[in-house]
Amino acid sequence: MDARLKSTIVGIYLVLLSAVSGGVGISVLQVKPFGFLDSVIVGVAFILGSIVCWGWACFARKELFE
Amino acid sequence: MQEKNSSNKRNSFLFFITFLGIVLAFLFASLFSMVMLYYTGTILSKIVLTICIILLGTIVGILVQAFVKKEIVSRSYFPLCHDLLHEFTLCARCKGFYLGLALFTALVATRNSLFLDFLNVVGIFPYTVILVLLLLTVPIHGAARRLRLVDGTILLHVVGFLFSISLYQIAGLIVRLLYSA
Repeated sequence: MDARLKSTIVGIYLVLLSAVSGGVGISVLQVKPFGFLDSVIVGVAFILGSIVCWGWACFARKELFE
Repeated sequence: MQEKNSSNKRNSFLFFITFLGIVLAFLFASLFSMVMLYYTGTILSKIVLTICIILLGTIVGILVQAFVKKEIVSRSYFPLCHDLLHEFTLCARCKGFYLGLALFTALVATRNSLFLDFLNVVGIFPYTVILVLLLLTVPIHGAARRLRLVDGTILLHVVGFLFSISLYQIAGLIVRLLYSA
């Protein structure tokens, strides 16, 4: 597996993880299963995690895996 | 010489912040796991716990990889990239994504069951197909761009915007799963 392929796989993984964690965050904010404050903290943390993964997906360059 | 010293100081400061970030991430993960273990009776808490571990593992893994590859540099505003602020001003796809997040958050805030209603109207199978297609927009567009089949900023905006819908669709799917269980 060369660096280019690795970077592509990591990029796709990060994008999908971004969608899933964002989805979990939004659902936690909607349902609020852990009480108001805990749910808001968990939901916001997941949405922030989603944004971090989304931002990092762009930087999964092949140089990082050489 | 003075510039080099200043750069070293900034590098050690960044190393400290990064190290602290990793330690805090581990502490946060431990705390979060303990809290979530308390609630593992429901499906959502199990999903939350699993995704939390994957998410934290990924973030810490990338931080470690970035540090090993010396990607954390003195000019950086955030680990891994050399200048996140500069990249933010350039990335058209991010603008579309954040615009989508803002727009759909406002829509969901006004009508909480928006995507759940959409799911009930179109049915689970078409809904899932739309979700998969939306999830694949970014990888397909990325591949097409690498092969120089497509070009242009507007398409980047559109792809980022379309992808942001998938987050809300996944949320709708999880809420549906909760109510049907």
